[in-house]
Amino acid sequence: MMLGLSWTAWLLILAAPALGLALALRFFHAHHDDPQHDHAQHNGAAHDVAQQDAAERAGPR
Amino acid sequence: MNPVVITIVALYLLVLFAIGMWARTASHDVAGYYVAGKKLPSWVIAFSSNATGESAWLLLGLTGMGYMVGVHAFWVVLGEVLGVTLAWVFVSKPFKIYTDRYDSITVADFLEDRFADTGHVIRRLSALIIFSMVAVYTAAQLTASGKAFQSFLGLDYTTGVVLGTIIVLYYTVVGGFKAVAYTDLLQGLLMFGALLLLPVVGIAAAGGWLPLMQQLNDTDPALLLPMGAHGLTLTGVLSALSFVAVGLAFLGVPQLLVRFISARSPRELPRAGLIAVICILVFDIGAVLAGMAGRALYPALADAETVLPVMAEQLFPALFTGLFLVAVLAAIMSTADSLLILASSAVVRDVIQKIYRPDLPERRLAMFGRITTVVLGAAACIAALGQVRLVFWFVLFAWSGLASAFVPVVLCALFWKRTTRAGVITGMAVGFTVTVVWVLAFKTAFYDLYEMIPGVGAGLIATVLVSLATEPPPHAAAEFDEVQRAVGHPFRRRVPRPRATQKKVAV
Repeated sequence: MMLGLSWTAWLLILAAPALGLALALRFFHAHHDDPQHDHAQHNGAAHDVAQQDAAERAGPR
Repeated sequence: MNPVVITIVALYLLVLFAIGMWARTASHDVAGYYVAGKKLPSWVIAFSSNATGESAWLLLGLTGMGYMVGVHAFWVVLGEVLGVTLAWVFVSKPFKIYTDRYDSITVADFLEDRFADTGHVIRRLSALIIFSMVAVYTAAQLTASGKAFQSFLGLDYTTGVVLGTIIVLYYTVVGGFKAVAYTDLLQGLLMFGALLLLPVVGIAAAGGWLPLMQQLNDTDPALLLPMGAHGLTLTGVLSALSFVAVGLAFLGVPQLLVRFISARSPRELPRAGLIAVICILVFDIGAVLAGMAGRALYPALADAETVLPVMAEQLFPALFTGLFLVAVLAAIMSTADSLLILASSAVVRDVIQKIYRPDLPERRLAMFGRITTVVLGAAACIAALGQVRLVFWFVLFAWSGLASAFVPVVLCALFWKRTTRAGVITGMAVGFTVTVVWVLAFKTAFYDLYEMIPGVGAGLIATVLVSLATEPPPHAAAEFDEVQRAVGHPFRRRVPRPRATQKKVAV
């Protein structure tokens, strides 16, 4: 017993904050300043990537 | 009726009216009326999605659950937090990129373009499911509005339902999605404050954490057990699974996916996701702990779902009682407004504009949107007036009906390139039908297993099996790969390409 509850009860109570915050923070740190979306307002994101990839495939001329 | 409580409620309603007026200029065309022109910032979409997902069920139903089953209710917290987190981390970005690419403003827009559904079968099916479930869901929220006005202000039930309907309809019709989203932000903040304050004061009133645990243990030791009174039996495990399954809906119900569409850029999503996760943690943990504290303080309540109003009245001065009433109204209205505008979009955008009258001018369609919202609101109001008992069963059923139809197909559309149009149509129909049939024929005989589990499971299996037996549209695989590249890895930072290389290419 710890603070009036069993360890299994604490495990259940703390699972949600631990998992939720760990995943959300990792996602935030990986993407909050993603350069891919600098100009991706509307109808842009996927096309930007496609254009960049095509340009890369073409290589320097 | 306490004048302080009435003043606070009046002030709250005035702010809602003001937001409706302020947002009206953004709602003159279809995209403005239904997704605020895709210009919303992270704070707004985060709070709006949580305030929409969490209805009166959070403040009255989940607190009541904490009161009734204690620690066992934390399975709901786990399910909801995981649902919200996984939705923002894995679903939000690919969905936003796809919907920007297609210029979609509804989930049916996205599914139709993704699977080249030129016959509009997905649109029709989607509109039918949304319409039927939203009618039930909104009526339950307006019933809760009547009950809230009745228990806090002493108004009669009919006046409470009609007043709630008029207020929601006013700002939804005048300000469209922008008003809905910004009122959701205010409403979400009110719910956040209430659910932060209530458990703290409740635990303090019970004498602190350890005395609270001691009192709960004396009342019923099962209140402190993760598996509750059933223990580690089949009934206990299925009960825990049913609680966790409540969170599945966050992965794909249309009223929440629309928040991702309305973001002003994919860059808003990581910050919004973090805010949303913190917000849902406070909402859910606060509600369950408040219910547990209420059990220790008022062990003999006839109806567990009145624990929040009782605590608000007994533990706080009139000013705070007013704020708690406003928080309950906020939870009701933030869900009802979003449902009404969703059902309106299913009629006007998905059926009228995209199937029958694509030639109609945008302003006229937006006007049709307003008229549809009023008609739906009035119908839900009439249904609520006939249904005096507050039944959260309706809320959970509608939540499950929408999730079973949409979650499997949205997940397959985003993450499995082999998904086909026939698979999606079958998955939606099977998921929805299984939910309804399960409730009508099997639920009571099967340990009360929540219909979300068979509904989503059957929808997923049907989508996969039929997709494997049919061919995806020819452009889909290449497009899928492009979007995946744009999305990137959810946990890996993308390295910016050096400017020099880009210049070289341009030359």
